[in-house]
Amino acid sequence: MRQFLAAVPLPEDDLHAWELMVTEAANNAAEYATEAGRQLTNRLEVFCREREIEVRLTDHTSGFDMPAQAELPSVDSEKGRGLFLIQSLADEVEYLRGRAENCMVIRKKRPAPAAGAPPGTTSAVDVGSRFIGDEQTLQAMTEELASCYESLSAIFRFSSALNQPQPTEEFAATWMLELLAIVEADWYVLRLADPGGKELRLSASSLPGNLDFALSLLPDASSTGSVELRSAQSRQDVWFDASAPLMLGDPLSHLVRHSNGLAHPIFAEGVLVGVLTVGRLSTDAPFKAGQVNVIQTFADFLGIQISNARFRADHLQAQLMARELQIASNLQRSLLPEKLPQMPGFGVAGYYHSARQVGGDFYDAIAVDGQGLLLVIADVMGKGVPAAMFATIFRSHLHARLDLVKRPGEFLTWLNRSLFSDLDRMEMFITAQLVYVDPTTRRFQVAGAGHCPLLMTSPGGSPIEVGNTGFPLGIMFDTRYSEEVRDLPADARLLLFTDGVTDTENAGEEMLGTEGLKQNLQLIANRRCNAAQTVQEMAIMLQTFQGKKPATDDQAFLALASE
Amino acid sequence: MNIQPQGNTLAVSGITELNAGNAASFRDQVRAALVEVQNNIDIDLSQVEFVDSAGLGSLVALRKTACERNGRVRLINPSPHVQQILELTRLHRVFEIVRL
Repeated sequence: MRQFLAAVPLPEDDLHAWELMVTEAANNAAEYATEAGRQLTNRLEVFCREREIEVRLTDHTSGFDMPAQAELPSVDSEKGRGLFLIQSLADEVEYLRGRAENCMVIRKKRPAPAAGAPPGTTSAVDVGSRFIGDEQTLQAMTEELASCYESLSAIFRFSSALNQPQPTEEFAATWMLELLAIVEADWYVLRLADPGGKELRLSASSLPGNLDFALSLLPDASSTGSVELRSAQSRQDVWFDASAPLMLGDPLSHLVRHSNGLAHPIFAEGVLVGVLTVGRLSTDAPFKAGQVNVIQTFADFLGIQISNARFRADHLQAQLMARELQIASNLQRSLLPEKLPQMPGFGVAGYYHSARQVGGDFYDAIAVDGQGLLLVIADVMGKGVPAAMFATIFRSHLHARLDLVKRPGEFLTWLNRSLFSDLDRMEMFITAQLVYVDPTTRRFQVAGAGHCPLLMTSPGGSPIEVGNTGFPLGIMFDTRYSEEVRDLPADARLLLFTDGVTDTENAGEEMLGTEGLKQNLQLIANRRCNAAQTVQEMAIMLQTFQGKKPATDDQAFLALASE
Repeated sequence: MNIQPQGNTLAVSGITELNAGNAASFRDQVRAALVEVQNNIDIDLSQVEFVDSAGLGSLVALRKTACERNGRVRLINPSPHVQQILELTRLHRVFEIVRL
């Protein structure tokens, strides 16, 4: 009795209480048994319910009237404490008097299960909830228990295998054979729905015939009488047996005509993910309720597994994408010059801040013939890998025709024609600005392709916008880009930038704008900052302006300033 | 079970359970071991895992014997479960429960 209850399990205090209560009841039953009753067996029944334990003990005594609350005898009495102890330790005690026998019923609540108790505990207890003294019943119970424990242990092993990543097909095939053995079934067919839920495709089957074709789940699909389809469409178990045999149109009927079993739909988070059909090659040995339960439980677990596998696939996809973006980001950063060339009297510095993982902003400064300098700023429309790819292509084209640096308009015209087909096909475009600075003549030539004009200023002056905008590269094949020639004063500052700079927003969602940029540039120019300082001050200004609000676009600029 | 005379006290130890099966014999053995000079009985309950109402009855019987000799029964180191049963039946009020 104690061992039995210990396996429930019950805490030590309750075990003690039960041991004492049953002992007291049994002692009374034995002590007060009638002459005839002494020849008879008393029956002890234990009911383990979720919230209470109930014990029934029959006796063959002449019975007694159960007091509502037994009183303690005097301290000197050697007897009469048994009933008091039972009532004190139990939550409820009843005494049922009958003609042939009496029965004491004792109930005591079970303590609430501790949080995190293994989910199997309750099931195991429920399975073993009846413990009956009768030999025959006991044997039947023992068999049922053994079979249930076998199933349960298989399910637990099954569920622990769920944590092992492996292909669903392989997983299913292994465990379905185990299922067949447990429920004494002869065959199974497992079909899984495609991710779009349009059809059921064969995943695994124990049948020798060819079932490797899809069953359409679309509403207008002609019904073949397939139990699998009917189960999928009704979202319910569909049974087949002698009274409802597999239909002639059912693909399964050719292979297992005289069978009984069921087609069980499998769901993962409410979505149909497949159908499991299990059967026996006989029409007169139906599955028992417990076996059906096991089949359904397996199918539920399988649903979880499929759901997990798909989640893992999504996760893998996300990882691949992150990796791809990382590659693109590395690629894009590698495009930016590590060191910018300088020229007599002027310094050049650049700044780049990517809003997301990969952007399409690009800048470069290329020294030509040891004298002149080509400043380049560009912004590839779009983000991610394609933007980075086009930035790369743009850069290679740029470096391919350095003979054109002194004529930036012509250079842009050539770049547009070279890149046009690729850009057009991808429905992308690039805005760019090329500036050729000639330190000997102290002039510069500007050509723009849809890019914002550069800003030029001097200490104590006020910034002016220089450069045409024109069409971006990749819009019109025949676009001819013109250029503008300007003098470059000895103390001049040029700032080439992408629209991510002027579009920078602060916490109040106000944009910095061209005017804001001009004001800040002028403040910096007035302090006669060189190129590196200008870039540093501009970066601080941008970060201060946007505060905690994250930049939504890439920001790039290139500054030229007298040293 | 060990029964050791210690002056005017009879010390009983080594009991593992006190139930309907052994209570009467326990009571009788202790009574039989009492000699003229002894009026007190010390019962070591530290090893007793289980006591039922019959077991309690035997303790009550021995207490009666000691009282008749103007002595007393001391229960030594009862386990928490036994102590709980003694308290439940209010017998802790009449026995001297000693923790040594």
